[in-house]
Amino acid sequence: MKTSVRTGQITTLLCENSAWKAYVEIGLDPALQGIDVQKIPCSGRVEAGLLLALLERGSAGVLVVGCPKDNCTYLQGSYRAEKRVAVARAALREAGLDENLVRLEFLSSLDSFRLRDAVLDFKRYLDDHSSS
Amino acid sequence: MFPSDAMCVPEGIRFAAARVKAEKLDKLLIAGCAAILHEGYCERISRAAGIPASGIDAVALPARASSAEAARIIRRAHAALELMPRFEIRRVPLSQEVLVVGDGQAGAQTAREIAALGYRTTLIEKDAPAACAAARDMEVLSPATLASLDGRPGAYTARLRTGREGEGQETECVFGAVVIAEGVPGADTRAAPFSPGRVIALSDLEGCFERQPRRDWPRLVAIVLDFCIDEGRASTQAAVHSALAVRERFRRQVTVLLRDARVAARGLEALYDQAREAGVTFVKHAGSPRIRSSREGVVISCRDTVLGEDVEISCGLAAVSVDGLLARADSCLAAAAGIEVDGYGRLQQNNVHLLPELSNRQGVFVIGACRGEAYQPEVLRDARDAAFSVHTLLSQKILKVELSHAVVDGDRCALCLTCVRVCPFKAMRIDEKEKKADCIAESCRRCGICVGECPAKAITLPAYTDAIMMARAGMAERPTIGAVGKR
Amino acid sequence: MITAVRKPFAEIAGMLAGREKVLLLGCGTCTTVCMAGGEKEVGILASTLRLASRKEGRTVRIDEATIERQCDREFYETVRGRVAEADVVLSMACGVGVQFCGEVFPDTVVFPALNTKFYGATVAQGVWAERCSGCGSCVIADFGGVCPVTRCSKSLLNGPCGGSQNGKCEVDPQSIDCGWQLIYDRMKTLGQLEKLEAVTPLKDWSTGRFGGPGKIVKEDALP
Repeated sequence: MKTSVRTGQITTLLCENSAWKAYVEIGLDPALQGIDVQKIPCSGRVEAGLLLALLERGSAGVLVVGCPKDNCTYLQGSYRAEKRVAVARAALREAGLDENLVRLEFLSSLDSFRLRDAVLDFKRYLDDHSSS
Repeated sequence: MFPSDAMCVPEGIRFAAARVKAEKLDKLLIAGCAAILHEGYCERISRAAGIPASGIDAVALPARASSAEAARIIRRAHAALELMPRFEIRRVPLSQEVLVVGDGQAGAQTAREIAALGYRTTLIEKDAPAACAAARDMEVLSPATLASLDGRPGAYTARLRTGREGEGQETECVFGAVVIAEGVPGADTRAAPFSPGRVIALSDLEGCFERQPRRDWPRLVAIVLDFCIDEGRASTQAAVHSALAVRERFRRQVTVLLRDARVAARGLEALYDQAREAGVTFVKHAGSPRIRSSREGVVISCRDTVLGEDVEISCGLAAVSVDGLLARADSCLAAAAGIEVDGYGRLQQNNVHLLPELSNRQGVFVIGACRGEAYQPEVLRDARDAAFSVHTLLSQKILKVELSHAVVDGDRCALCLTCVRVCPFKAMRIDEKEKKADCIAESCRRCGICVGECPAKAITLPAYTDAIMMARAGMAERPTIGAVGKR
Repeated sequence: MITAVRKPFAEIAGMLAGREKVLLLGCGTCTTVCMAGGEKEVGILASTLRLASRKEGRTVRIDEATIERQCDREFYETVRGRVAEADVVLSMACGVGVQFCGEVFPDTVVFPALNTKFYGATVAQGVWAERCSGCGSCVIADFGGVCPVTRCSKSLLNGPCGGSQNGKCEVDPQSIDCGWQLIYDRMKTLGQLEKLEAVTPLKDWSTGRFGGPGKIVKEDALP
C-alpha cells in the first residue's frame, strides 16, 4: 500500500532572487501547506554532497529551484547548479536509486504558479514512486 | 516565546522591537503567516529593534497547522538561527579617483561627466595621441594600456603601461571605479567575401556609385547584414540609410538581407517603413548567407525565413556590413581587467542583470561598442549611465560591508585555484603569505558558488553553512565523523 | 601533479562486498586538486555507498576522513584509531597513497577508489593533460621544452612519423596533437630549429620505470 509522502519530508531549496520571491507571493496557498522550504542565496550554492546528505538523512526528495540559466543574478550559479545536480543524480543512479529524487527547476520571481505546479508535481511524483 | 497579534503590521513590529529591548535579546525568530516573508521585513524589525538583520528570521506557519506541525517548523528555524553567527560591519573608504579606458566617443563623454561630478579622472588611450589630450579637467595618458586590475570596489589597484610597446614604463594607481570604453578592434576582413567592384564594404557603397560612370551602375544592389554575427541597431540604421540613398538618389533597385531588422529605437521603425514604401526589398535570412562573385555579377544564396525556402539573389553589387564579420577578439583588456566576455568576445556577458553598463565586477563599468552597443544615442546614454553609476558608488565615500562573505579554511585549502577561477565576481585571490585562497569581502556577492566548487570543502558562507541548511531541513549536520583537515 | 579519476561505482561496490565498516580516506593534495579524491569527493562517494547499501537492505558504516597527504607517514597519526576500527580502508589517494597506507598499517586491507592516470598540468579549469612520463633522464632542453617521450604517442626522439597530419596524431586526430609538431613549432618560435639536425641517440630507459622500482636517497637529508 502506498502511503503519501509526508509533505514535510520534501526539501525545497529556493534561490532568494527568483524562486523565493515567487514563493512569497503564494505562500498562503493551501495546496502548499506543509511544504518545507528554505531560502538559499543562489542555486549555485548547492553541491552534490549536500543533496545526497539530505536524502541520506530522511528527505524524501530534494527540489532545487533557481533563476533561468542566462538570467542568473549571480551570472554563473544556475549553470553550476545544473552540473552539480547532474552529479547527484548520477550518484543516485549508481546507488540503484531513482535519480528523480533530486530535481532542478528554473523559473523567475514572477512565476509563482509555475513554482506551485513544480512543487506539487514533485510531490505527486514522490507519492507515486515511494516504496514504503 | 511571546505570543502576539498580527506580526506583519507596524504594531507587530513595534511589539517585537520592544520585546528585544526589554529582554536584551540578540536574536529573534518570528513565526506568522506568509506575509512576514516579504522582502525587507527582517530589515524593518532590525532597524526598530537595533539588532543585526542576520540575527532575525521569519517563518511562515500554515493557516490550519496543528500545534505539532507549528512546533516542528519553529524548532527547525530555531536550530538554524542558533547556528547563525553575528556579523561585524566593516567601514571601508572609497577612493574618489576614477579610471576611464579609451577616449572614443563613449570614453571621452563619460570622462567629462565624471570629472564634472568632482572626481579626479584619469583617461587612458592605447593609440597616441588621445583626442582629448588637451582636456584640462582630467589627466590623459596616451599611449597607455591597462596591464592588470586587482583589488576591490573603491580601491582597485591598476597597473598602467605607458609609452610605446617595449619602451614604456609601468605605474600603479588606485582608483575607486573604472569605466571601460575601449571600442571594438577592426573586424577580421580575412573572412569577408570582398571582391573589388563586386562585393564591397557597406561604408563604401555610396562612394562607389559616385566614383563610377552612370553606365556602369548595377541594376540591383544587395546590402548584407548579419553575415557571421548578429549586428545591432546601428547597423540597421546604416543599412536602411544607404538603401534609401541608392534607391532615391541613384534610382537603383535595392534588396537588404538581414537576420532581423533591429528597429527598437525612436525613429528607426519609421525609417524602416520609409525604406519599404520607397521600394526597398527586405529579405530575412537564416544566417551565414553565401556570396559568390564572378564577372557576370554576384549571387547571394540564403534561406529566406519568411518564405521558408532557399533563395538566390543575383545582383550587380553587394555591400556587406563589416560589423557583421567576426572581429578579432582582443582578449588582452578583458583578461587584464578581469571582465568576462560574451560569445562574440565583447566585454559584457549575456545576462540581463548586467544591462546596461555593469560588468561582472562591481565598480567596473563597460560602455559603448566594446560591450556591443554601437547605436549613437545609446552610446551617449551609456556614457551618462556610467557616470551616474560611478557617482552612486563613490559619493557615499564610505562603504559599509557586512562581513558575511565567504571564508576559506587555510588548513583545508589546497591552493587548487578553483575558487579563483570560478568566482563570477573575481572576489577570490591567493594570499601568498598565508598560502591560501582569500575572499575579498567588498567584492563578494555571497552567492555560495565557491562553496559548492571547492574540492576540499574549505570554503563556507557563514550565513548558509551546511549545518544551517541541514538544520533548516530538520536534520543534524551529516557527521563527517571528525573529517580531519590538515590540522 | 598526479592525476586520477574515480573508479566506476560498480567496481568500488564490488571491492567492498561483505565489508561492514569502511574508512573512506581522502587525500588533500594531488587528488583534491584534480577533483577525484578530496574531501568533497569523499563526501559524495560515502553518501552514494550508504544510500546503495540502504537500498539493498544492508547496514554499512562509512567513516569519512581526509588527511593532508597519504605519501608521508606522519599524516596518518590523526586517523590511526579510525583505521583500527575499520574492516577496510578505501583510499582516495593516488596509487602511491593506497600502497603507502598499507605499509603504515600492514594489518589493514587498503583498496583503491581511484585509477591513477598521469603526471599532468591543469590546462583549463576541469581539464588536465599529461606532460611527463617520469623517464628519469629529462631531455626536454634539447626539444624546446616539449617532451618527445610524453607528447609523442610513440615517444620518437628524431622527428615525427608518417601519421602526423595537420598537426594531429593518427592515434586520435580529434584529440591528440602531434608531439613533434609541437616541438617543431616551439623550437621555431625560440629560434632553435638547427638543434633538431643533431641525431638523438638511443635513450637509456633504465633510468625510469623500465629500470625497476625507483629510489632516491638524498645523503645530506639523512639524519
